[in-house]
Amino acid sequence: MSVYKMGDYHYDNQTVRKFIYSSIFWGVLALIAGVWISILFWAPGLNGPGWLTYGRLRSFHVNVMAFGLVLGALIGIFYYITIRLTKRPLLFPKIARFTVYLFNLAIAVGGWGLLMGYTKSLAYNEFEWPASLLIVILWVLMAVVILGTIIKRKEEQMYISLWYIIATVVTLAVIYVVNNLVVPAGLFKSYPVFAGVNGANVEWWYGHNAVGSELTMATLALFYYFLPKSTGLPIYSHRLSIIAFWSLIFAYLWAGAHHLVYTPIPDWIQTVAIAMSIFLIAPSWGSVVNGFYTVREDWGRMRTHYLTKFFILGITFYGIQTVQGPTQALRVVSSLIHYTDWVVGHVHMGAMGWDALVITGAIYYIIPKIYDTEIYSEKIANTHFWLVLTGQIIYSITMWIAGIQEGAMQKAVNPDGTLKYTWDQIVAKDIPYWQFRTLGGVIFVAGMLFFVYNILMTVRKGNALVASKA
Amino acid sequence: MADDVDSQEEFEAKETSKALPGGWLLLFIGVILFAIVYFIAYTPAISGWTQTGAYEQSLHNK
Ligand code: HEM
Repeated sequence: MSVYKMGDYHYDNQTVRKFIYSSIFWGVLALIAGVWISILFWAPGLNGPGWLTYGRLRSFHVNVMAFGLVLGALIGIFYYITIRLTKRPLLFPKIARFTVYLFNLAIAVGGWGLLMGYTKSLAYNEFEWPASLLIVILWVLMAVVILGTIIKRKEEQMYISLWYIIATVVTLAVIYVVNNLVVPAGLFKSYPVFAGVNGANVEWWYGHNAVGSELTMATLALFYYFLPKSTGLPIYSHRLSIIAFWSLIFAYLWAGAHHLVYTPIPDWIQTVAIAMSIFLIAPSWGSVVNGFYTVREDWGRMRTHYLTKFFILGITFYGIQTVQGPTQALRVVSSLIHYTDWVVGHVHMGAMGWDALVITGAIYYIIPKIYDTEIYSEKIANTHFWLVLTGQIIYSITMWIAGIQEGAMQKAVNPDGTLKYTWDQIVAKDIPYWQFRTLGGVIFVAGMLFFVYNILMTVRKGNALVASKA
Repeated sequence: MADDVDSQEEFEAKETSKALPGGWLLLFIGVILFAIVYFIAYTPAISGWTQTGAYEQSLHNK
């Protein structure tokens, strides 16, 4: 039926693979940095000189995680999904291949810069301008490949995953460019064009929607594609997918100012952001309900199809996340948990519980498919699953408790109106929670190492297979 | 390779493709109503509520 030769797909599949390997490489570095900085919280004496200080390793962890691990995996997986849903190879395969090298160069330059102390000092956008420029070029080229392939598709109908991919590609392009409007002052320093209240508003419009596109919309594209694939069950309701998609897109871009509650941002902007945040529960839960109703057809697949639990637990944490987030936006809740570790718990339930499970689940699906073989070991995949699940839950819960305690101590006042606790007293109480957080992190990273091992062994098996066929 | 293209049937359940679960629809309408009420109640130009006003009020209540 298809007019394309096998070789056309082979080249694109190699590009997908290269993205996945690159992302795993950066991910391992960023994970190690994460565990290390969590130790520095309760053992600050271990702080090293230069690039070994907490400040530099922390921004390395965050930015290399978001742009190296997550973005790298997502671009590769977007290519993979787009090919299959449009029923054709990528439109510009050579450009797609080129984006792999550009991607690695950008992360290397940006990550090295952070370790050397060169930072734009904008949250989730810390790489200095040369790396950001590379990312912009990378993103434009990737957009040309993906949008071009979709325009020239061989399947008329567009499945929901393609809508989420388009939304991610467009949104991230707009917000990243606007938040990178800077004036360079030399190779290693630049100044943003927005300042003060405007700067804060732009920064969190960016920050919220960077999370919204990378960690939400993009991950939903994967979820809608790989849940049916790995369970053999079609998505419950197409209409629900579509309504949830458009209402999510409608509301997300308004919600950024919920990061700036009780600041000099005008009251009405905060109010709009909070109202939109509350509204977001419905579109988010549209996907949660759709996922559950899909697998409700046969819950037995949680046992028989090992990937089912990655996606179902993933969407469950997404569901918790999208009730917790809107609640945090409310003024009364924000005033307690803002500036505390609670938010760190929120972030990591999303990152370790939702994104990591869905992305690793997708990679487990893709790598054997590309080699036309099976995963090296389902047992190791299950071990990986239980370890990352346990690690993440320990992490999130300890940070929620620590956060409420910090918030309560920050708010406590004496009868004469003075603060009851000093910063030092609050931090001293955090030590046991921070130690537990490290425990959770170590368990999580151990799980991820099982994942990496499993993938490497599958690749080895696949290569041997290819060699035996040749 | 067999898996390089997909068919739409794998992805969309036929019988339920137009279903909207009642509980979810209720949630959808509920949060829209909440958002409207919240917007009216906390927008200075509509209700007169302001952040600084609320702060000063809280000092009196102490
Ligand atoms: C309806 C969905 C969501 C809403 C309304 C929401 C809301 C919020 C709010 C209000 C904050 C700020 C808390 C504060 O500092 O006071 C926050 C922080 C954050 N959220 Fe969510 N959240 C949602 C879902 C998610 C998801 C799915 C993720 C995925 C990982 C996520 C990741 C983050 C991150 C990374 C931050 C930290 C920002 C910082 O550095 O301060 N959120 N969220």
